[in-house]
Amino acid sequence: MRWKTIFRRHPESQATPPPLATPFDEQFLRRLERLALVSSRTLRGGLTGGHASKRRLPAPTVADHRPYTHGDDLRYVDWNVYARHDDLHIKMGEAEQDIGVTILLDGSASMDYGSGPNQKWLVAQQLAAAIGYCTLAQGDHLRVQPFGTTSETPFSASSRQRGSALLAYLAALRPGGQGNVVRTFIDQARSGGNGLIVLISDLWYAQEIDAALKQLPPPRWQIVVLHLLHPQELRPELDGDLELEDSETGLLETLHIDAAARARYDDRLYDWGHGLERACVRRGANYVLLTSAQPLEQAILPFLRARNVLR
Amino acid sequence: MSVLAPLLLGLGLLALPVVAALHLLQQRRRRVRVPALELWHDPTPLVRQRSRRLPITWPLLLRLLIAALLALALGRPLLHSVTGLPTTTALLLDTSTSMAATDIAPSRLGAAQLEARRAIAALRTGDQLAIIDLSNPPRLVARGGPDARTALEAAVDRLQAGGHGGSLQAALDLASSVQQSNHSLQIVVLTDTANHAQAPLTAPVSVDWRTFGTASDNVAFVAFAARSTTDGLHLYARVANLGSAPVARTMNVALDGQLTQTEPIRLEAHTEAEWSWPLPKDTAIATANLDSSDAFADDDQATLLLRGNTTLHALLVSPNPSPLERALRALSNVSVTTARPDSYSTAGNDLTIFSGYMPATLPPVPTWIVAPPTSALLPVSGTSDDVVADSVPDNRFAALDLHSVHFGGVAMLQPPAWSGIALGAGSTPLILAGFHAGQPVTIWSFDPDQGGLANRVQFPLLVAATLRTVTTGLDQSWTLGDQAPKTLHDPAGSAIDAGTPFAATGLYRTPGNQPALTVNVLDAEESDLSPRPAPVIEINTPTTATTTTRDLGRELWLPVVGLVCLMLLLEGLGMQLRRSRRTPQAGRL
Repeated sequence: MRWKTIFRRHPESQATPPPLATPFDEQFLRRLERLALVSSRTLRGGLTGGHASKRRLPAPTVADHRPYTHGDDLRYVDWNVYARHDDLHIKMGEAEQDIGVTILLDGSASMDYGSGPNQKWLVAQQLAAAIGYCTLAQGDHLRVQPFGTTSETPFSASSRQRGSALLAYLAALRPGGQGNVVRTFIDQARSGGNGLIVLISDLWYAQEIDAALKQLPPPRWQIVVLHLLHPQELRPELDGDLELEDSETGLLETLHIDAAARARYDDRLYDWGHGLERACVRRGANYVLLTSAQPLEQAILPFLRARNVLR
Repeated sequence: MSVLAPLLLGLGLLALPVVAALHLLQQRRRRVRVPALELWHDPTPLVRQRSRRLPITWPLLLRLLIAALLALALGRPLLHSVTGLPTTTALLLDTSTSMAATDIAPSRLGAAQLEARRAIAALRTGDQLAIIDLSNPPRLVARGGPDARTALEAAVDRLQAGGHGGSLQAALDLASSVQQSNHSLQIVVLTDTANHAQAPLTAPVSVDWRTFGTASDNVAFVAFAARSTTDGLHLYARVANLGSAPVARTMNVALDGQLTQTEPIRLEAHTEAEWSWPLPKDTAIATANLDSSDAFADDDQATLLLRGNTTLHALLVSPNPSPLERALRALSNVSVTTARPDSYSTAGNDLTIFSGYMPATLPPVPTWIVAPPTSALLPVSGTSDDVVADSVPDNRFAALDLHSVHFGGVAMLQPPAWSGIALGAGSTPLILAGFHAGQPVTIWSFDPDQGGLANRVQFPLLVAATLRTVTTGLDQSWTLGDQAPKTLHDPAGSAIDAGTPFAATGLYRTPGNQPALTVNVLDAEESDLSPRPAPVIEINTPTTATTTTRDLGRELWLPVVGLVCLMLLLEGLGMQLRRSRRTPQAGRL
């Protein structure tokens, strides 16, 4: 039996508040300075940069030797070895390289969910800012490619001085469309090159994630999938007769939600998340499930370090 | 229990659907925006959409009950004591000719009779029902309680449509007179409202006016007669379209059973047209009919019985020379013979006129009595002068403008039961008309010698109209509802006894198969089937019994409002209890 007044207003009718105007505070920016992006040695880049490479090049720091061949630079001949073995060997050393880091930022309408500091889009902006700033701080080449946002103009930078421009660029982005992960990956593959791909998305309507990852195979590409969900998506507290509206498609579904329905949702969520993780593992990508309720610096970054993404 | 304000009750009950609609609105499903429906799709019945219907909940039932009680309070319910007074119901049945219309099944009168039977069946112990025939004059045809249901139903079944309808005020007066002591009075009028005076009427209680019939178009004969001109005898017919749309008909005229004329008729709405044809000598019967029947078939035909240049032989019996003689002699086809009261014989005369004289018994011929002295048949309590007519219940005198006529020597008569007022001044009858011993009798209560009436232009017109009244049937033209003067065979060949009202139009014959008389409608007012608004009936001083009955009732609106307040209090407490028990739902979207 329900006792309600006829004219009672429902608290559920409140609108989602707009995202914060400034998603990055000063303390957060200082922490970014201390972060370093750890990239895999399998990545190949230019001849500058602070990342170790498996390319054996003649270098002052000897790590290995190889027989001399015609045309080698005589400056790298190890004369001590020649004196001892009477053979010419070239000193091989580790050459430092820079890498290209591409952040694929999902700005579809489903990311505009939640309110306050737990809003998914806000957390996604902070994640992109943290990873992008670390990339620039290491002197790596950064490219931010949003998809599903109102504007999909990419951002590119290679120096730390462009950090403020990165933050301004991210703050100006607005979610609201329908994102297509596969198309975004295909576009990335067509652009050529290699590097580290960081996908920040809630992966709704991304059933073809396996096909998308197939477009960017390792070792040429290293992919990190940051699966960002709101706590209400992980454990919804909906109850009763509700008319659910899909934030991306606008479709309406009238449902009666009770404990059994919520249990079925949990089961499907578990299967869905594990399916995504398996697909990532199969394609050599790192899969990380995040919730927007976790404090960025206390939970996300240590987790990224544990996953060998940050140093 | 009854309600004093049923209109407010009805308006209040309109709140019930409003309450239900508000609940349905409140139960409308809340819309929640979710990132994706991908994981919510579920074909199982537990999650699928449920039908949108009004949930029957205790708050809904409680609020509907509150709304219904408030509506009941608005209607001012009146609780009658079980020891309340029984009711005398006066049922006034309109039996005018228009009630024979068949625009509703089986007819207007048939529907009214059915309603009367329902009232008879609903009689409770101690109740009384009076059946009043709203004819001219109104008459009480039956009266009784639940034990007299059979007699009451038989009386209702005997009623037939005919005539021009009686005085409604006289019928209301008759209805108020049937109220028994310690009985409440209820007056119900069953009518088609086609022909009733619209003058303000009075009744002791409010009148339950129940109307039968619809606005039906009708084409009718309103005149069908033979006229003598210099060219000989002519047949005259007038047809009226009493409907609101143009009509096309064909009129067939037959003389002595032989079709002689076929006239196409096209009449605009509310118009009339006339035709005239020369009549051959020795024509006995003229008949006219319209080809298609409508809701009122009786006025679609007219029959005329011709007997050549029949002269009306009138015997004027008067102790003194009467101005009537001069007026009668001025009329064509009237032969007047005068006689003194002590030496007259009615043999061989079609009409006997007594002026200033009243015999001990009326002769077995149509009789016209003028300024009667007091007698056993017509007691006179006195005379009055300078009386002006103000009511004309009989439309045969309606065409006369008598407002400027001052009647003198008016005898204060108590109208006999067999007569009705045809012309009156208040309750004083000036002209009475009726049938006595099967013969038409018309009474002038005034003396034309006094008041100057004999010198007014209205006098010969009044004489002619009275002559038509008193000689009804002498020209063999009767109307529906008139009583048969003798045993006759109706147009269908069935025998009817003397005194039986005519129930069908057409030619009536004697038992020897000789044409005797014709029965027609020929009444434009009765043929006009369009219903009129109910007349205004003012309530005069309530009867003692009615007042007593109202005192026995107790209005219940105050207890009902108190009950509503109690239920509202309970609902408020329930809501408060519900709120206090409701646990906060943290983290709701």
